[in-house]
Amino acid sequence: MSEAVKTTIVNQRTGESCIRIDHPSGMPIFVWEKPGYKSSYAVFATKYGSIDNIFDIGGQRTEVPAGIAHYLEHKLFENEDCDAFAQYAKTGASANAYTSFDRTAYLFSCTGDIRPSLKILLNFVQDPYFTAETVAKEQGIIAQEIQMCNDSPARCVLYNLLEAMYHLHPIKIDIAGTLESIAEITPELLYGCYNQFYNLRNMALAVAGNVTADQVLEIADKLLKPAGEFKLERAVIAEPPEVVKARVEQAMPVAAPLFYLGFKYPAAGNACVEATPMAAAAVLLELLAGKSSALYARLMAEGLINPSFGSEFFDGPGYGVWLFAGESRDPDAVAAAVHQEIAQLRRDGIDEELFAEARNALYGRMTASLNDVENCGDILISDYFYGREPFGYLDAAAALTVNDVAAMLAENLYPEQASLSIIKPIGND
Amino acid sequence: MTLPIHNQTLCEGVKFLSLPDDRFKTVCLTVALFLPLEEATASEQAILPFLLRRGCAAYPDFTALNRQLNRLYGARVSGEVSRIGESQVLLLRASSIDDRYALDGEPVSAAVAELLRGMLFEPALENDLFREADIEQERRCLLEEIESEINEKRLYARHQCEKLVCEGERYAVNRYGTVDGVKALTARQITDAWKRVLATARVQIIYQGNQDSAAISAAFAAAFNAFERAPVTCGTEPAMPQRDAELKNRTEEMAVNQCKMVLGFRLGITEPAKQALSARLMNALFGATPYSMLFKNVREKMSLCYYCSSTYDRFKGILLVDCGVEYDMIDKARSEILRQLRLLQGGIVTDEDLESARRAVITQFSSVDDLQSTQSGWYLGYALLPDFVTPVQAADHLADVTLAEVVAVAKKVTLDAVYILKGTEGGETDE
Repeated sequence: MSEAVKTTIVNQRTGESCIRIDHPSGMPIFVWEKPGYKSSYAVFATKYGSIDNIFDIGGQRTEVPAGIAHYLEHKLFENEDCDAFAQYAKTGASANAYTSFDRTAYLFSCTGDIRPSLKILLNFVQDPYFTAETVAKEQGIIAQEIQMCNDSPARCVLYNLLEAMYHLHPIKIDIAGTLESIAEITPELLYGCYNQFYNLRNMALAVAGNVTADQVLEIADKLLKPAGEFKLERAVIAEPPEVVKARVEQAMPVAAPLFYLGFKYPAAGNACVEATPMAAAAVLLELLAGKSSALYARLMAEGLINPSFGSEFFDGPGYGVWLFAGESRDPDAVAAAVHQEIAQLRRDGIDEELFAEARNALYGRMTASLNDVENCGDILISDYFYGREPFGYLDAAAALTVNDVAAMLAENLYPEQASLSIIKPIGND
Repeated sequence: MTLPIHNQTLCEGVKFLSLPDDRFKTVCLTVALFLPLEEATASEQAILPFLLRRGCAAYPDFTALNRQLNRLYGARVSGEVSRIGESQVLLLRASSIDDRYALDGEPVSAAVAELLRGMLFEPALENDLFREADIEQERRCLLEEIESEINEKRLYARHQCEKLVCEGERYAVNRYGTVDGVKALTARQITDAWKRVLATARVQIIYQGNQDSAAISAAFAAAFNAFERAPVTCGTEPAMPQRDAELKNRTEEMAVNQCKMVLGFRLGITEPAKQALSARLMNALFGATPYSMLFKNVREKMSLCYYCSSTYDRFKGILLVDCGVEYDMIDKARSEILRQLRLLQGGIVTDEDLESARRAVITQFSSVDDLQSTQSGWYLGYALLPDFVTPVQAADHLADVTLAEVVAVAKKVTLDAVYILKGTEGGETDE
């Protein structure tokens, strides 16, 4: 076995534990052994997403075409002699990958011995092969993916919102890029980005389920070579606190208007939100607009929302967004009601009893989410990339105070931080 | 899971399946009411799970009910309408954390099970009728649900193709009912439908978790026994009438960027026929994995599509192939899909491809018990069949399926209808 340093992190409340391995290659590995499960899940990810089309190397700023991280994800599946799916076909693993705003992740789930599938994963992600021919071949496939996304009202309503909210931050750019931007992608650009971002010091591996740390180490020791220095820095974007515009509309073939009301979180540099404010955000949203809230009942009774209504907070390096989303015959009326509810909560303060109930609910739902091995793997990667401790969110939820929520409210959800994005039915002016 | 599966009969047509498992942090209770899917009753039955989910005599107020669920550690209750074969399935589900994880050791799971029982049998009524205000809200939401089908184009296109293939059959009836049917619902009609459903539905209850389920099964047995049970027959062998040979085509125009093409095939093989398992393997080989014939050729080799895949409904015996493609590439994509089918029907398949598909399906079966949602979904599929097959048993049987058996079912795959959703400049027209 290698000189890897193993640390076991135990969560007393749930009896769950995971092992952090600081591997000599420079990459941290997380293993969450789940006795009794038949399946296991592995995710190998790099801190490289759509927002990284602008980055700094040695003080020099570089910009690459929108959608390149996603394009790279597609192309990495193809090696010189055979594609990764063909290799997974031999193990029966179910494999996939995704690119988000701030990461690219390659994953699989399987049953039985995980090692053959893990070997495939670690091999193909470390073995890029791009030629003019293979890059050109992918254009048709990704162009169809982009067209499919352009027809998705649920996706358009989000991207229109982000464009309305952000002046400079690349979160406003579609993850898949555009038909024009992907046409600029070349093998050289792909190799350039690969070499910058697919450095093990910028990556992590998480494995959960029917697996042991020794099994993972056996494969990792064989396939992970010590990584060189990682010099690249995510560009810090001087994003103004206010939004670009308060309202944006697009017409599409939909039955009734869809809306996203977004509030910009005042992100500081590229640091992500810590566990306690993250838990506070979830509780605050439940108090304001959850199914137990007065607002939800009122909007339902007034015929302004349906069960598609929901809210969430998400963040990443340099961005954070509060969302209130749904379908409504009158999105402006819903937005006005949400603004009013926020203002009223500021005036009245947070009710202790309602707070305790919402906190209980958050703790319970976090606990329930640990059933799913895929979710366990994803939590480990997210927490690490966002600088949070494993189980930190769960503990923060259980220990949350009303003051934590009040502090979050004091800094957020102001009208000047808000944009409303609407997809309206065609011909419904 | 190696424990024997025992589906206990609580009363005529009501079964209770307990799947004890100490791996999970949660306890889940699912009540599934199976009814024939018919246009005349679809609307009045479809609204029920949503109305029942709103509250019960103990918590008649929606907000108060949801506050109680928060106190019970974010327990969830949901009402859903599903379709299995030609049955409309009304579902009420509840899940909560297992008592072991309650911060103060409260008996959470029993309280949640009791809440679900209350919702089903003791709804909040006024003068023995569902309340008008509740009905109005749920009527509107159900109408919006029916109408919003058009929002997701892939799903919309698939539904249109299903309707084309199964025109005049129960399968083509919308599980949520019709716009006109929902608009016309009255409190009396809905209340009568609720009573009728409790007396006549085929019921499968599934309990998953680490707590003793005896008290729960006893409570449901007592509640159902209060009705004069006369369970309906839900067909387990859906009608697959012979069609005239003519292929049905429908093209619809809409303001979309990408064209959707759905090919609808009939194969007439349904559960519990032994061949249904061969058909599942055939489907995986044909178009349900990233190393299937359709993925490798239509997507990877020809770069025509981002997605091009097949799905087999083993409770109805139809197979759909759907893809998103440029309109001027439609013929090319269609020819290649049909060429791949002919290769499969001719047995021109490598052993490696067959074994890959087999491994993929075995992985899928072997993972079923690792999530409560996939596990309950698996057993609900067997609720109307004579016997349960466990995922482990299904994986064992799959190991024995031969290429000849796969080819035999592939030969029954017959193209019945082609639905195309194509782009237009502005507006939409119907053919």
